[in-house]
Amino acid sequence: MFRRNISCAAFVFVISASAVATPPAMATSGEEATTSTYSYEDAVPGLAPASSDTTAIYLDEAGQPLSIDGVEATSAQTAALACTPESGMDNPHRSSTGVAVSGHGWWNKGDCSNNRANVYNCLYEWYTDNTWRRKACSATTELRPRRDGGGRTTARRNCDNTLYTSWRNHVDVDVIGEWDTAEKPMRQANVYCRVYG
Amino acid sequence: MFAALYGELVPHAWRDPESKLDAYELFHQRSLAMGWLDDRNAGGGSEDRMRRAPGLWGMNDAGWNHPLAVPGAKLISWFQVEVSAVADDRPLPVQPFLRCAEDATASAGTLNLSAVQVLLPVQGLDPSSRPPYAPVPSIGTVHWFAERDPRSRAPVEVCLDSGQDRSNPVVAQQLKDRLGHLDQKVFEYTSYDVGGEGTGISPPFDDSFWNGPAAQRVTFRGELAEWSLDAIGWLAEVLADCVARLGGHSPIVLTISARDTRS
Repeated sequence: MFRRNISCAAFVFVISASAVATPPAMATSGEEATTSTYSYEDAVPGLAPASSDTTAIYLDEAGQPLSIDGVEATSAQTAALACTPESGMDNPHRSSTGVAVSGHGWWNKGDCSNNRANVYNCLYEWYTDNTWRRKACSATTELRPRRDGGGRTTARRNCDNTLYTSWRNHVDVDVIGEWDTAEKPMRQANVYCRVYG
Repeated sequence: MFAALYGELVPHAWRDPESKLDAYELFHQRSLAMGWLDDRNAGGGSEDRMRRAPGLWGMNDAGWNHPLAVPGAKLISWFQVEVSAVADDRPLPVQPFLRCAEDATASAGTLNLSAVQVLLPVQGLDPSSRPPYAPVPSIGTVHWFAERDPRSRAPVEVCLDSGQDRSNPVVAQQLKDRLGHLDQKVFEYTSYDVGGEGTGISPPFDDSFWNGPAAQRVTFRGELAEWSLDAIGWLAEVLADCVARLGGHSPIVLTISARDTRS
């Protein structure tokens, strides 16, 4: 489960750094930026360096810190009883249906019992002050598990230009009527899409 | 990488037309089942310590309809993936990509394919990294198509468009020569031209999605070993490598269509 109201967290992830993305016309490659020398106001979107995985923080649209720690079960006892849903998401990617970045989210039951969950996913863009800033979220949608044809959520944001930029797609799954664990899964990719606002 | 399948699809009578198993779900399931879905960029959860699958692509999107499809073009389905880094001795994975596309589509209905359009990320290929034994890796699997019924050979039109990259016409002659020198009979061309109308099928995506608009076009006409997505995928892999070896470094829209020779 990915909680909106928590502080920064460390991530460990592996990027297919040389994945074959399609460069659009007129795009120039973004430069992998160094971090920590920019203020919030001066920072601009860019390509996240490898070191950002352990040090970056998350910000909402107003610049307030977000946390991706946290558990729904608030005590050790309830945490021990929590089930673990499978939280699914795809890579943030350039949409072919417009000049936009897009990502999807879904879930499966894992070892949970109930077959309904509230699901949403959000897209975060990397900035040179080593922050991941939230740029779009899907609506929170009650879904059946994907294996039962439950569908998926979509977060999407139009690009201001097509500069190469790092994005993350996080999904949050809250199984209805059941304690579930607090996974905060995400996928990261570089996309020919940059958003400033 | 992006693929669009054109033609006719007769829905299976037994399939629920409102099925939630749409093109995205079916393609994703098939990619996962075949072991071709790349999971390495997942993270952020308790599964961080897992060993992740180094597949061929990450899922992006798919659908039966596309808002940018040309009306009347008979689009059946489309699929979009992010290709993982291509191994030095392997081709761009167009064959497995089209295998999943075909399987996903065929699970919804009976497919009568008239054309296939593939956006080939040629810029992801590094010809200098190819080992001497596999300068064009797909040539190593040419015998897969060796024992086909000769009557299955199909007249096709093969159109490559590099959009605003003006190198395509320059490499056209060299591409023709290179195709002619490859030890293969899967695709044998009889004619080619530079420019022209091509297949007339505009790709169903925005110009900024590749290097559009379409402009620099080369069209080959000839025979394919069979009218199948396997053969089309194989040819696409060969063409991608050939274009890359000739200095092409921008995306190519490849359209292969069945050619009616009756008229």
